[in-house]
Amino acid sequence: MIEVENLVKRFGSIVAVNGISFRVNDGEIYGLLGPNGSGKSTTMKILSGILTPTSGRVLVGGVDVSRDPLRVKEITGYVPETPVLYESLTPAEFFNFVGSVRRIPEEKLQERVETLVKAFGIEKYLGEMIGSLSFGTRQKVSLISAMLHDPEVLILDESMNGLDPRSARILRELLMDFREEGKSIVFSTHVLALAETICDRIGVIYNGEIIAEGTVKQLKELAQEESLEDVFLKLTESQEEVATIVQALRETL
Amino acid sequence: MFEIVKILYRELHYRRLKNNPQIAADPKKFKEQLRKTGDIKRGIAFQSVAFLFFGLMMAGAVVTVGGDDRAAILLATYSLLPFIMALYTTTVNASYSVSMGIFEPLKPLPVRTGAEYLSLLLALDCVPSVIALLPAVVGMVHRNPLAGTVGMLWILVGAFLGHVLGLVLFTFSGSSGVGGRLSGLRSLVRVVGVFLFVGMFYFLNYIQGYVNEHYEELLPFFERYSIAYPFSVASILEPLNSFLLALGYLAVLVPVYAVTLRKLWRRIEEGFNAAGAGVSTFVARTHHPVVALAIKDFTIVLRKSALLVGLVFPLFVVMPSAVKIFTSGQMGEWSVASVLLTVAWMSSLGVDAALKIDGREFEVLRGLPVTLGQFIEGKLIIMSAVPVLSGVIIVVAASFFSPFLLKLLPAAVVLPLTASSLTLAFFYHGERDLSVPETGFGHVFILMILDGLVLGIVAVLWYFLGYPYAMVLAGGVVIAILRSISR
Repeated sequence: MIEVENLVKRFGSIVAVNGISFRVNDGEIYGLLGPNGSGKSTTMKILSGILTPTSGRVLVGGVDVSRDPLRVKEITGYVPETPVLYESLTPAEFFNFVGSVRRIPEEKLQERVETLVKAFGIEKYLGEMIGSLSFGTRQKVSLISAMLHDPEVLILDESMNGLDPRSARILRELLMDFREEGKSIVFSTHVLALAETICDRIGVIYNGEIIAEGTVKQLKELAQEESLEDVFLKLTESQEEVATIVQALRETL
Repeated sequence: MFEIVKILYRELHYRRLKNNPQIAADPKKFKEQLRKTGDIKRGIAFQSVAFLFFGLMMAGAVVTVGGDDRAAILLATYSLLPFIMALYTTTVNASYSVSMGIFEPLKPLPVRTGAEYLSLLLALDCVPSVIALLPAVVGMVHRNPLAGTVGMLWILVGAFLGHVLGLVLFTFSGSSGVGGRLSGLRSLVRVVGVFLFVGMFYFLNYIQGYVNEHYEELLPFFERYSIAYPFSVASILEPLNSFLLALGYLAVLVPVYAVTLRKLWRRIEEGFNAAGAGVSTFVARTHHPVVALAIKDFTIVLRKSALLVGLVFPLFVVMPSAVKIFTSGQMGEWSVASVLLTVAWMSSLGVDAALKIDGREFEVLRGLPVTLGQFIEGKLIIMSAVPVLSGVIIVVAASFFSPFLLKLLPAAVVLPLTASSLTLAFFYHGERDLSVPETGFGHVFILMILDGLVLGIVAVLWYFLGYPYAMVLAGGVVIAILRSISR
């Protein structure tokens, strides 16, 4: 379970996250949607123990991220928006490194890597340097490394980016299974149709604040719109702006 | 054409700098380096001036050595330099050009590109090593004009040979995988290149002395293998034969060059995508987190030559004193101890390279449950590895002359650990979170004083009270620091 209360994160004079509160239950996929620069990635980094909050309380699996970020890192799996990996290592070397640091027993590591590598179809890249891999393959390496230790909580920041349809489907099915197992998952994406199909609840974050929260049905009712895309544009005050830009483009091009 | 090559050259050097964590991590340093190396004229001039220092050293030797025979042998030995540098720069630049896709942005544009662009781009960085040999060639021309002129031809042939061999090596073994064909050879070339570059001063001095002393033994050897480069360079005293031999080399090299370049260009045209080395099996090998961190660092260092230079550099500083001991035959405890203390003292110079190994990939560690203590202990291992290894080699080698010196093995291990742990404690004092501190020249200067003081106390203790007391103090410092780190 994840509990966020009045979370504030400042970088100097910039307020990236401004007093947000939400809760993700066990066995729930929570979608965090918002335009670029709205504070999604900062929130997710705090949930993963990478950043410390300026104020507010964040409990991940009952652990306070401000007090014990190391324990939070032990129980979470985090996939950043752009895969950050050691480019001079091969995926095989990287998995062994992550396995060692996370103290995963060798037999378990062997089994999980074999299963996940096969599932995402990257067997033939195990001996290649990560720096030479395509964005999609790197994203798969990042996803696999976040799941190696069977985390209680998964934080996925636009992790479907660059995945081929087969892998995207596999990840979706995996997330459903994790939900069944009672894990808490926070998921952000710009593909609203995807969020609509897999998220149990959605929080719309804008300018560092959660401006709406609920199930897809509740959000549609709230915004009185038919599609999640229109809900999102209306809530983030982008509907009119988008229409004006499109009109201007049509006239110019 | 030149405009395109200018852009490609800048892009190539931009990517190379980005790949060097010691520079990429510091925006000011990065900008300054890019200004120096990203511009063709400035980049080549800058490198040439650096090489010219060695060039003058070589010229001095060629001019002053007694007899044309000796001068020709010296020139032949020196001609290894453009060969190895061309081999090294070609392999490295070809690797960047292909794997980092520097030609990719040009593909959708209506500009003409081709293998000749690639050829020029890769050849440009070989120029400084040829320029370095110019003074020596001029020296040879001064002694014997005809032989000197043919000597110039041989220097160009040598650089071309290295360039072609580099292309062949890369093209036929250039997979991005680490276990590919000839990948060991590629790594070896990189390491040899790095050692040669850093140790060039010693190398040239040594060669000069060796040729002078062993001329009689070297001459038949050079005559016997006169067809093979670089021994062939010594044939310049028979200009016609030498000229024909050089033409023979070119007759073989030019077609190989053309074929290889075309093959490499095709790879670039097709676009670089890791093809995968076939289905590989994963073998889980886990270690203690500290060991895993150190293994990760070692692996990265061996694959990034710029970092390797930073870590082995201290070795070159102490090399003369080590060589002096062995050549003087004074193999006393105190003379070996003084080298070990110097090796340890120099280990703090490796701190910049050690702390910047992770570079922008440091974010990986921040997402993992790595404690600051584990991180520092991992860095302690990587920082001390070269000084410890060189200390151990010195002690073992010294023990062949005086077996009792084997007792200094603990000192070879403990002293670098003392200096390295002091260095890391200096940078991480009061830190709670994983971070990479600033390691400027001023910091390293203060550290040299601090390490010097502590090692000085150890030395005084060793001298007046004896070896065991010194080791207790040095070991005590390491243990105290490690304990405070892991708390």
